[in-house]
Amino acid sequence: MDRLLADHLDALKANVQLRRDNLQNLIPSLTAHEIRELRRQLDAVDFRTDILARLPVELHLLVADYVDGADIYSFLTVSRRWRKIWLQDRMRRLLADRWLPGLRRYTEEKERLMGEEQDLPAIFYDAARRLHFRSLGKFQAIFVRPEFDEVGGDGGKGALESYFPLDPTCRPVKGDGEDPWEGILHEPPKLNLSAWPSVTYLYSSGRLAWQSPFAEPNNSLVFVDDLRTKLRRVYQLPDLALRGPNFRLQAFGDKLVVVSVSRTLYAWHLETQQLDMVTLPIALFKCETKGTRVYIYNEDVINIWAWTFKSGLRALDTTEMLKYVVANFKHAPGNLGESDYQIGVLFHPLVESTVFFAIPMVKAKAVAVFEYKNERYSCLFVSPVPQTTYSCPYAYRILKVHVHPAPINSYGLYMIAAIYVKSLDPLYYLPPDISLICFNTLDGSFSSQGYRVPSVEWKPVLNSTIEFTPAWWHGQMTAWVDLEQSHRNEDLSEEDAHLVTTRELGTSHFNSDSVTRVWKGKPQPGLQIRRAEMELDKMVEGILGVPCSPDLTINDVARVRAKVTSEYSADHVQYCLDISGLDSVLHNDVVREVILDDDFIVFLHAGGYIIWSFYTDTPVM
Amino acid sequence: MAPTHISVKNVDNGRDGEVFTITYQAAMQSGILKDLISDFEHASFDEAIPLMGNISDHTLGRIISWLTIHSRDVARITEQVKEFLENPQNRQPPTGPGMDDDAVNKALSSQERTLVAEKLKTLTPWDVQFFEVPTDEVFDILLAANYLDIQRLVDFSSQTVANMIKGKTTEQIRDLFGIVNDFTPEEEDELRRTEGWALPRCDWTPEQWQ
Repeated sequence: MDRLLADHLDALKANVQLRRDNLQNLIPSLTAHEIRELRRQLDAVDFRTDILARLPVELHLLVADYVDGADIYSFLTVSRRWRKIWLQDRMRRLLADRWLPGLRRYTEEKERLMGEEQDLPAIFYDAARRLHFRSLGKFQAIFVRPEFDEVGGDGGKGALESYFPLDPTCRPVKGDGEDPWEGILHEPPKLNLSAWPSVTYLYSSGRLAWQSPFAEPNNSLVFVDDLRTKLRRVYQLPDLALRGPNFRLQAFGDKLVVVSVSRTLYAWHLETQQLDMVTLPIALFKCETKGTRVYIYNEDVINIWAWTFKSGLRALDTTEMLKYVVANFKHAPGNLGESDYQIGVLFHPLVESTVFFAIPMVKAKAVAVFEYKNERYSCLFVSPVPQTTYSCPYAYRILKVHVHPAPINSYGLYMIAAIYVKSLDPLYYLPPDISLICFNTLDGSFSSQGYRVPSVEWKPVLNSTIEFTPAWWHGQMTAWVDLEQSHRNEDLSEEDAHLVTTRELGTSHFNSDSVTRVWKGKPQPGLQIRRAEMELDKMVEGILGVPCSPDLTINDVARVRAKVTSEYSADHVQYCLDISGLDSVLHNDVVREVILDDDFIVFLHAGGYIIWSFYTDTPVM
Repeated sequence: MAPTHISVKNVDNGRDGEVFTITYQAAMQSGILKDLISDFEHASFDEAIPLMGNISDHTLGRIISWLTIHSRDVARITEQVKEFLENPQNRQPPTGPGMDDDAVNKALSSQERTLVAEKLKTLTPWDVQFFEVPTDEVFDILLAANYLDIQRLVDFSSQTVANMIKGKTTEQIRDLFGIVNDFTPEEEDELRRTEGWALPRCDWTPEQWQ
């Protein structure tokens, strides 16, 4: 008898309408208690289902189209089935194309050049994992230049060893005594107070090179700090006569560290520790190095040399470049002098003998990129005229084309120039619009990204000068906009303003709503991670889950009262450089440069550096 | 001549399901219905079209309501975009005096296409509400939409599923879908090792430091 009603209902199986009506008619006959009991039982029914595990494969890919590449890390540990779904080759290929554009092209090129098969899904997995750590702000270590703040009794010698110990395999001179500096430093080492603290730091692929801060004759040393092994190396010219006031650290790359003494260049090979030298025919201007090549150039483009380590100096034929410079600058509008152009050097990520020189073309509103292969001119790429993001229908003019190449990813994509565009709209005083020109060294293609300085805060602006300093790595960008402006009211008072804007990981467009901060006065860079203010050492411990190892010298960091203002929310992660607590290390309030790569965020300022390390040696699965 | 209304019913499992009627225009969003209707151009549409695919009446009803609501979307959105582009301020790239008409029209029509495609892909508040149902229902709708070849609804459901799991931790996802953690403790240790220090061991909350 206990299935009387149920059997009746089963009998109605085919007729949905009747079933429903019968059930509904049942309710008035139930007592309040029965309804309560039924509701309790029905509430306990679990309607959850593992959607993804039950879907066919092609629908997985549709869902993957809408998730962030970095999100898959939490998916991988849900269950075995989920791990399988998200680690399918097709899935990783799809996510790679979507989240790491350029990676596929890079691996194909590498396969072609090196003849080794590249495992795209695995490479994507590793790259995405690193980006994921970064987007969560999970850094492994933070380095703040703490040395020489308090010069000890030994003239600062002790400080040289305290942060990064000397690499025992790389001692230029072996002394007999207990003093590790015997034969390297001449007694007594004294800090060169006029040059200190503005020591030049050069960063390249996980290493930091800087010239000795001591006075002569101890100035002719170059230190190379390896941020991965946390060891310091020291390089010194063998000939005593060469150590003098003309000693300068000139360039630093992944294989060479280059110094100059007057017109002579010296380079040490970082792996073999060998030394090579070359004397230039005329005075040195600028140089850049990658691999075993050093390119020495000056802004007049007439002289460019390529120096290959241990293979001598060779002048490049610059006829083609000169043609462009003449066409674009000799008769340029009056507001542009010849000194207004710079040339930038770009390197091919895979082929050492291929190099690119970027030259602005103000008249043509574009950038010319000259490719040289094996020291010979090969071809020319000219960027298309960028579309301005101005929506007004009025004419605009180019204010300037600023060439400053910086890599955006490790797959050969560079940001090469910023083109400043001014609207001639008579109704609004808008700050200039900026077009960022990107160049892919693998296929010679250009792309551009419009950036509009938010104008809401700045109206009415009569005059403005603008400096735009972007730091861009993959989909994420932080930019300073230094805006100097005269207000129309308030008696034409002048005001400096600085904007820091960030772009989220993975979004393809700048959004002027995403402007995060506006400072009147000096910029306050730093790292913004989570929504809490805390002592740095506690945070490092918290993030790493392990006590800080002593060589992080967190105490030093705490000494400069470093506090990290941090902010984190799942869908909006920002690196907003904010070191309001680090005022004491900012001597001139000058942000020199922000350099980004896969493992590090390097922030160079007038007083030293702050480096966040995301380096991990955990193997790829 | 095309009929004004179409009736469908589910006939899987050898039973006759409830009969739903929608406009011809709404039915045209489904690839399967479109094919069926054009195949039987001269047949009478008084009888309901039988559907297989194991779709429950409840799910079919929900899909019919979705089709009805979205039946006029393409026309409506195109109109909106056209209106939006009337204003030269919204044009990309800006058009101004000195540009020839051909270039302007070309730029406009390409921008119009992109904008329409973008808008058609965006979930409306109505759709968000439509998907505020238990996960098994979302699953049923996604499968049925896939069977009926309703591209936009498949897209919307995929977006909904993606939105459900976006930015969630492993635990939250398990809770959401009622998934049992089937890794052995040894496997979990292994995962923690290979996935480095990004795993929950280090997942601390800001409250810990207050």
